[in-house]
Amino acid sequence: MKRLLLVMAAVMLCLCGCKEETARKKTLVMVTNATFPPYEYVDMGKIEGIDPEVVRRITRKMGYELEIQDMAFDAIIAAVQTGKAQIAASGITVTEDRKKKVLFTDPYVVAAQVMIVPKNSPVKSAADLKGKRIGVQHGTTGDTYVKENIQEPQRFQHGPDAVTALVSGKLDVVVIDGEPAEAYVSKNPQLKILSEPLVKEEYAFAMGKENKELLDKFNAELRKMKASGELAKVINHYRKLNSKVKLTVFLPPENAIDGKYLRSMMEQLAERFDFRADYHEGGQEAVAGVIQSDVKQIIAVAIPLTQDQKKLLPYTETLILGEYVLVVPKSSDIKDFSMLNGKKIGAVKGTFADRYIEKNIHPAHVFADAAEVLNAVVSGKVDAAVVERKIAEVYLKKDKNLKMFPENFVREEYLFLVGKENQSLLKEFAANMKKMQSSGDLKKILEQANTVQNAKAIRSEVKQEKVMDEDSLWGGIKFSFYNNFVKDQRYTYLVKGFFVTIEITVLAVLMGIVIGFFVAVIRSTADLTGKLKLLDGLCRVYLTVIRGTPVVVQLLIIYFVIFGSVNVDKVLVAVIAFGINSGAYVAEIIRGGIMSIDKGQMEAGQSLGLTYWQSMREIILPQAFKNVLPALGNEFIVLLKETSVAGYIALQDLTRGGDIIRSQTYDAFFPLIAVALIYLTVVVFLSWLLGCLEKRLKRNE
Amino acid sequence: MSETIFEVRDLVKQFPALTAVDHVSTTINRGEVVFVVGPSGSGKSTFLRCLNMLETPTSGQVLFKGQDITAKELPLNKFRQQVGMVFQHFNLFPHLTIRKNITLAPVRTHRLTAKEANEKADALLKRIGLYDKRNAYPAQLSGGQKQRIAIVRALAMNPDVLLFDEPTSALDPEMVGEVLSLMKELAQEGMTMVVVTHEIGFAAEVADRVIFMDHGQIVVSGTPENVIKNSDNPRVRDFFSKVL
Repeated sequence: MKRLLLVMAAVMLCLCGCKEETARKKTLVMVTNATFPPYEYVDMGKIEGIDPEVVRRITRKMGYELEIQDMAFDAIIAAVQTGKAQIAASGITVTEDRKKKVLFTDPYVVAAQVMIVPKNSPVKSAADLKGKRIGVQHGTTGDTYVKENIQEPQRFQHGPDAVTALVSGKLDVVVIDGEPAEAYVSKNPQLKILSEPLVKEEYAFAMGKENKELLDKFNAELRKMKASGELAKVINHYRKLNSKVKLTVFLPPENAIDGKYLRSMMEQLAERFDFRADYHEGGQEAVAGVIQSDVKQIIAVAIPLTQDQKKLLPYTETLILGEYVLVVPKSSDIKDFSMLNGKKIGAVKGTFADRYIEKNIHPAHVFADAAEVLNAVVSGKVDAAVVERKIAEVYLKKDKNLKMFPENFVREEYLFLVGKENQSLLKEFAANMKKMQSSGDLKKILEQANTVQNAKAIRSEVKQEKVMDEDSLWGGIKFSFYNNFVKDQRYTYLVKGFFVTIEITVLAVLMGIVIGFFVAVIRSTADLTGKLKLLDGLCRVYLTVIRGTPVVVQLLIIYFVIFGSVNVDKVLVAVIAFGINSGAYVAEIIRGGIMSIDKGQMEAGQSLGLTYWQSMREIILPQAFKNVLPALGNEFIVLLKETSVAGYIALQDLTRGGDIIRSQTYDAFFPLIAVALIYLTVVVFLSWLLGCLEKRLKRNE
Repeated sequence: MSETIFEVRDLVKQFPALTAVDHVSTTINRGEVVFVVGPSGSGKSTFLRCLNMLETPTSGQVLFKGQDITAKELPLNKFRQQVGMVFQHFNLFPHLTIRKNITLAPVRTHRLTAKEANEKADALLKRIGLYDKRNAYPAQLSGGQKQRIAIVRALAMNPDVLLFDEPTSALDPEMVGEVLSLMKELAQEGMTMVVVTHEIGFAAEVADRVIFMDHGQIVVSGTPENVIKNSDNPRVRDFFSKVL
């Protein structure tokens, strides 16, 4: 624990130190609208792209720190005009209008608005455009140009929508930025780009008129970058990055070895197919969530799914990496797969079969290779063996005492999924995979992945030996502690998880109190006065449903059903789910409190001329709240612990944090005890706090 | 002729199992001190509670200064600001200080500013000799003190009439005197009062008029002399012979 504290202190010191550093250097503010890849876009929460990178490099050379702010495109020019920012960098086209307001640097990109038409189109050049149905992306240069020089265009929110309309014959031509145009046309063989662009435009950075000096220095650096080829390099890097298909890989969180193996396999595949790979830890629920919530440009991968889950995801391709069969002695009493329970089952260590048996039946007896497993069956050391079909077939030809169940025991398979729009992409991908499989390339990739994995395992074993110099009990504990918390900074799983848990609990408690108060007041008013019958009915339904279903189910419903098709922050989902859940219990607690207040109190208030609501607020609720404070406190403690199911929607809360460590170290003791201690500490602290509050409120009795 | 405060016309209050008030009619004038007496369960308290609509009458009318308060659309809180009520169990607000108990209603109903209300509360507390308790909470007071606070709480609203619902029944015997003497003072100052009580001796001493109720009906109504001492009705004579 001391060590952990030291590390935390060090981190804090570093953070403070870094901050001071920034303050000493002069800072420039750059504004951008990060929705324009490859020029600027948000990736993993950071603003990336050509513009940020170029400006970052230039300002660094000029000796400035750079702060990047994301804002609406409309506001960017105004921001540099008024001096709120020094540099506007957002793929801004140089126009005469804008020149009146701001200074422009040298152009760093010369872009073109081009025309996309069907291959057999009568439109051959800009001259043929008049009277045609022209589609543009709303608010782009193309939009303005077509409107001012030709006619009113049809405006689409997104480029692909316009292209879709063109393909389906609703448009004659689409006028759009040259770069995305290339990408659209490459996916639609029936389309082409007219060779002569409709209009050329220059992108430059903008600065306020008073910053002439800064502009000159900036231009000097920009020219150097152009001359050295650095600019072209940056631009190409981001263009290439953005033209790549994104491969979103889901790795099983509960089994780290499997995860690492799959990860290196996917890295090889991504390299092979020139994809951008993006890794997530998450279970099957998370995969379904992504596919449902984001149908664009995703291939998600790598977790065995059940048949039912597959049915929900129609656009899938399966990669079969192996078929495993069950081998038993001819005299065996095992007649089918269901009779394996309690039997000794052999498998090759670390294979899919090994993991599958452990997960679905009980841990297997593991051996170094298939021959050893089959020998173990022959010698009676195990009752059955699960090995790869091909090996079993060869072996059974030699050994007549064994028999094999003809059907697959289990198939090692991985799913590749896409949203609706990328079916063709997936088919192409699958075809390539099959080619690789038949040519043996795939096998090589898998072997390589295995080697990488093994090398990593060996490296980590070497490290472990160094720490484990004492073979004593104390040494073992020390090592285990080190391995679970310090190594690879695993304690951060707990720290981050702790804050997520606290965040969810605090916000859910607040929401629960608000809901609870309203429901309780409505319910008791209906009880006391007979008014608000309709609202009372609604509240009763709410209470019945919420208290009649498990909170986990409510959480899943809110995540997958209510927010199923919206991309929404998981913490928010959890807060809403737990808040709504807690509200029901809080409501009944507070209602109990209200009903426990003597009827005479309301009568006294009303007989003094206060209204019902005034009496409720000034007289009844303060007393009710005080009476139910212990029960409310208890509810919040319960809620804190209930949030431990947030892991169901792949939120990394405290419990999940412990689980992740456990899955990496295969050690249950330290992660679980640590998680339990943290919860316990918070609960004890909360109870103490409540005790103080109660004492304060009791003073007047 | 003095102003009519309450005019009760043919008032009936039925509960599911019994008729608590059965066709009662009477008039209470400004400055009058009326005591309502009778055996337990005779409907005296229900009758009193009907006067400020803590019970909604089943039929009949209650007119307050000529206005029908049983009318549905009437804003009850505005009317109740003019009618003080003192309860058997005091019903002080336990979470508020004594002074806040008194000032809450005048301030919230915008009758007085906070400053005025505090001044008024202090004056009233000084009058009953409990000024030093102004920052105490009700739980720190004796029963008699609590009831006197409840009376000045009602007075702080400057009501036209005070209703007392058995104000001394929940008190220890040694505390009854202080409450009764405060009530007597108020009566002598000309406050209009309707008092439901079992303190027959006190009624005889203070009342302008005594109403004897039984089975929800007014049996007799008249001067204390006539009702308590000289009634020729056997039920009335029987009752007073037991309590006196």
